[in-house]
Amino acid sequence: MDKKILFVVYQAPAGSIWVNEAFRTAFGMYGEDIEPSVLLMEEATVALSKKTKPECLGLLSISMCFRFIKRYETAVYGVREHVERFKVKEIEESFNAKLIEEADLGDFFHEFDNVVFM
Amino acid sequence: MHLIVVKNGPNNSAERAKIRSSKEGDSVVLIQDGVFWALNEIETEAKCFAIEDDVEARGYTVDDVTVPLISYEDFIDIIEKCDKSIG
Repeated sequence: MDKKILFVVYQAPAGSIWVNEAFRTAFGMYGEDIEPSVLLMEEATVALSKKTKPECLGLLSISMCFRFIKRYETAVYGVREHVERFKVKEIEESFNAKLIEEADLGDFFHEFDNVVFM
Repeated sequence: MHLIVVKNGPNNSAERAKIRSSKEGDSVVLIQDGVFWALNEIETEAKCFAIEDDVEARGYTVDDVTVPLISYEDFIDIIEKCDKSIG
């Protein structure tokens, strides 16, 4: 049975590499017996926004991940309260993100074999 | 049964999420700056521990903290016991 790993990103996509690193790490796990997922919470929530463009600062774009998310069907999650708190009005549909309630984070983390905060 | 490793203090949003997600049967180990959590009662049903060297390095003693102190060897024993982790 595949080992379930969740990568949790909590730092903003502009100014830190962690959103891209989480997806890059997740994509690198296909072919192993590992089922990776990615959760974007706290400041990393803004990476879900259609309008977020780190490349305008000369940083890595997030959109480069979209075709791999689609190809591998990588599960992407966000936290509903954080989407509201950071006023993300329009979520980029390429993520096919599922929103979970903040109160359910405890049960959600315990569904995985390993949860890695990065 | 998850091992939860906390290495930053209470003002870190990720560590707050970890502590809040801890449940009965989990083991929470406070390492590095995570030992600052132990200066106050920690709201969790999980068993909590702090690394003795990290507590002493920050000028505290066993009387200053609210959780039992363990050595790095004890920490390794906990790692080997828990097959799942949040860290």
